[in-house]
This record gives sequence, C-alpha cells and structure tokens, in this order.
Amino acid sequence: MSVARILFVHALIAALVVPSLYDTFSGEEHWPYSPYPMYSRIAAATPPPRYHLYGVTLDDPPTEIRLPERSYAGPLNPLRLQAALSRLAAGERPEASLRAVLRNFLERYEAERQRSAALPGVRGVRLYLVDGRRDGAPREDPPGRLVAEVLHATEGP
Amino acid sequence: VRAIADHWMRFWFAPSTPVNLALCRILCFGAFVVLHARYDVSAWGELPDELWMPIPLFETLHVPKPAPGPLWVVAAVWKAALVASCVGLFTRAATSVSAVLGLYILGLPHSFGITDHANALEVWVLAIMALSKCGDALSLDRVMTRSKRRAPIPPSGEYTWPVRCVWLMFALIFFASGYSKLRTSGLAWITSENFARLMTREANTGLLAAWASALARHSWACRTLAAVTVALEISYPLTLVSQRARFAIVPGIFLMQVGILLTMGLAFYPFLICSLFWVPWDRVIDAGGRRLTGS
Repeated sequence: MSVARILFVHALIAALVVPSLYDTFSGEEHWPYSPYPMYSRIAAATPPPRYHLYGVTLDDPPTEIRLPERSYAGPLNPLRLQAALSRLAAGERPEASLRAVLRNFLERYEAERQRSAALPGVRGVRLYLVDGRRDGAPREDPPGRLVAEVLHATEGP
Repeated sequence: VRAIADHWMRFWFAPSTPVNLALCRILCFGAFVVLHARYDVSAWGELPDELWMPIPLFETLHVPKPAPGPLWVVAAVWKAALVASCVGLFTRAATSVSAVLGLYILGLPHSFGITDHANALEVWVLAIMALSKCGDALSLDRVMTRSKRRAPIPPSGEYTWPVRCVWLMFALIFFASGYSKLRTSGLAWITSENFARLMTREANTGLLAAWASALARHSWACRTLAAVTVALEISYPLTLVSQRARFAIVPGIFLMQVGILLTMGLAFYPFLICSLFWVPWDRVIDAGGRRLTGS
C-alpha cells in the first residue's frame, strides 16, 4: 500500500472516531453520528400520554371511531408519529400546523378507503391526547383532551 | 512505542486475500437489496410539509422536503446501485452511488419526528465499502477484465482495513449505547424495575412478547439481563484488541439483538446483517474446502 493510501485510511479512521466520541460524551445527535441513547432513560411506571386520531362517522348522530394508524400515517411508524405530533404541539403555531397535518391525514385516509372497503367513511377527524394508561382500555367519551380537529377535507385553516 | 505502532499497523494493514472483503460485499449488499426491496421510499414525499423536521446534516446542506416523483427515481437508482455493488459490476461507481444516495434515503425518516438508531451503521458500511477495493475479487468487473491482466491478486492491507473499520464502528456504537445508559440513569438502569418494564411494554410485538412478560415477573432475571446488556455494550471496544473478547462479546451482542427482535419486536436488521463482517470468510472457505477434499 502506498504511503498516501495509508494516510488516507488514517484520516478516515479519525473521521469515524473523533465525531463519534464527541457525540458519545456530549450527548449531542449529529446523525449518522450519534450518542445512541435508545432506552437509556428508566422506563416510566405509567406510559406517557399518546395522540390518537378518531374519525367522525357519517352517521346521524355522528360517532367517533379510532382510525388505524396504517390507514393515514404511513410511512410513519407509531413511535415517529407520536414524536412528530408532540414536536408540532410544542412548536410555533401548533394549532395551524396540526390542522394542516390532520387535513393531509384525512386525505390519505380517504385515498386508503377507496382501496379498502373495510374502512368506514368519515366526515372529519379529531386528534386527542389520551392518557397512556388508557391504551387498550374501552373508549371513554371524550377519549382524552381534544387537540385539533378537521371536519371536512377541504376546510380552510 | 515501536511495539504499539507495529501492532496498530498490523491490525489495520496486515496483508489479507481479497476474498474475505469480497464475500462481505456480496453478502451485505445482497442482504441490503432484500431488506429494502419493498421499501416504498417515495411515501416520505407524500407527508405534509409541517412534518418535515430536517436533521442537522440535511439542514446544513439545505436539503428540501422531497417530492414523491423524484424520490421514486432516486430510490430506483439506489436499489440498482445496491444490486450492482452486490454482483461487483462497475463496483467503484456502484458502491459510491450506494453510499451517497444511501446517506440521503436512510437519513430521510429521521427528518420526520425523531432520530432513531437502527440504520446509521448501514450508512457507515456503505461509505467504507465505497472507499475500499471490495470489487477486486468475486466480481463481474473481475470477470470482464481481459484474461492476460487477470493475474492472481496478491494479499494486501487494502483488503484488511475496510473490515477493521466496520469493527471499529460496531465498537464505537455499542460503547456509546452502554455509556448513554450509565450516564443518563446510572446503575438504576440495572437495579431498578426498568428492564422488567421494557419487557412488558404494551407496544411489544415480538413473537416471544408473552414469554418476555412472564420473564418480567422474575426481577433477578431482569436485573441479570440488564447487567449483561450494559457490560457487553461498554466492553465492546475490547473486541478490537482481544480475540477472546471477540468470541464472547460479538455473539453476545448478536444474540441480544435477536432477543430484542423476538421480545420487543424492534428490528435492528442492519446490525444483524453487518455482523457478517466479523466472520473470517476466507478461513471458513479454507476449512470447508479441506473438509470436502479430506485433506
């Protein structure tokens, strides 16, 4: 191997090691470098609150049904969806941002419904922040704190 | 100092045949092709602009939120480059495209809500392979070389350092993971009910989730597993200097990740795939050949 090539490999090793150790010891995240903090916090005894999306049915009077996440949120997995909604809720103009997201989810749900006859029609969607302990428990009315709603796919902000 | 320097140079640049690196290329890129075959990358472009929260790398490079159409093309080129890298066709170009587009495509999900840590190692492996001479053997490039230029390839350090770089990334990643646990939670990560709670999360979807729930009732077992987890992670860098540590820690971490998949349903497939770099394929082939020929 040439000296230049050996020097190049040493530069590569330094580029792998130095930022990796910086992120490890500082706790900062610069993907693809990372401190790899997954599950480093002690798991809470009670699960944190979670966002649930409910569809408002076309019935008279209307009822609310929990929409399966895969019908509107793909490719976001549940963890990413919860994190994204939390960040939006804590950010600037959360109401407008969340309503824009719900409009997109409603459109995507309608598109998915065209492909799957099993999904019922809805006139809108409501986003609730639900106590984590209620996951899997029978639905309460209301299921949690109403965070945002969109009642027509074409509704303005 | 001289002895340390010699050891350092031997570790990174001891001459080895190109077969080991070539087999790592074929198996890893082949597994990446299968892993991503049905991955609909363009779906990220259909998410609303409000959910675009770019990672620092994308923010620095002013990477915009992608549109579905162009993203489909980028994904198709990337997948074709992965296939070409696997078979060793225009290997240098194919592995470079795999690395550059892989950085973008594998980084996209982290720009929607949260950065997770399942695929960073894959990005590093793609980059290391792009900078290596992994197409020198067992490749279509080699087959297409004119026969008179196809002399046997002598052993070289060029085929050693890429494998060692992947080992290094494993060591850095698992050390960071173990260190994060101790820095964030201290020994309570091991001694508290933490591990039992992880085993009984409602979100656990692994095939053995029910078995994990039963295990969680035995606090001594949970604390032992938690201690073993942190010990394996923190001590992973020893694999770079000790063959004995390598024999214990590498399979231990591999089994730990299989266990996480089976209990919690969290799939760290890129880590499992990249573990192929720990197998001395040339020696495996030699041993297999000797067994077959009876020599």
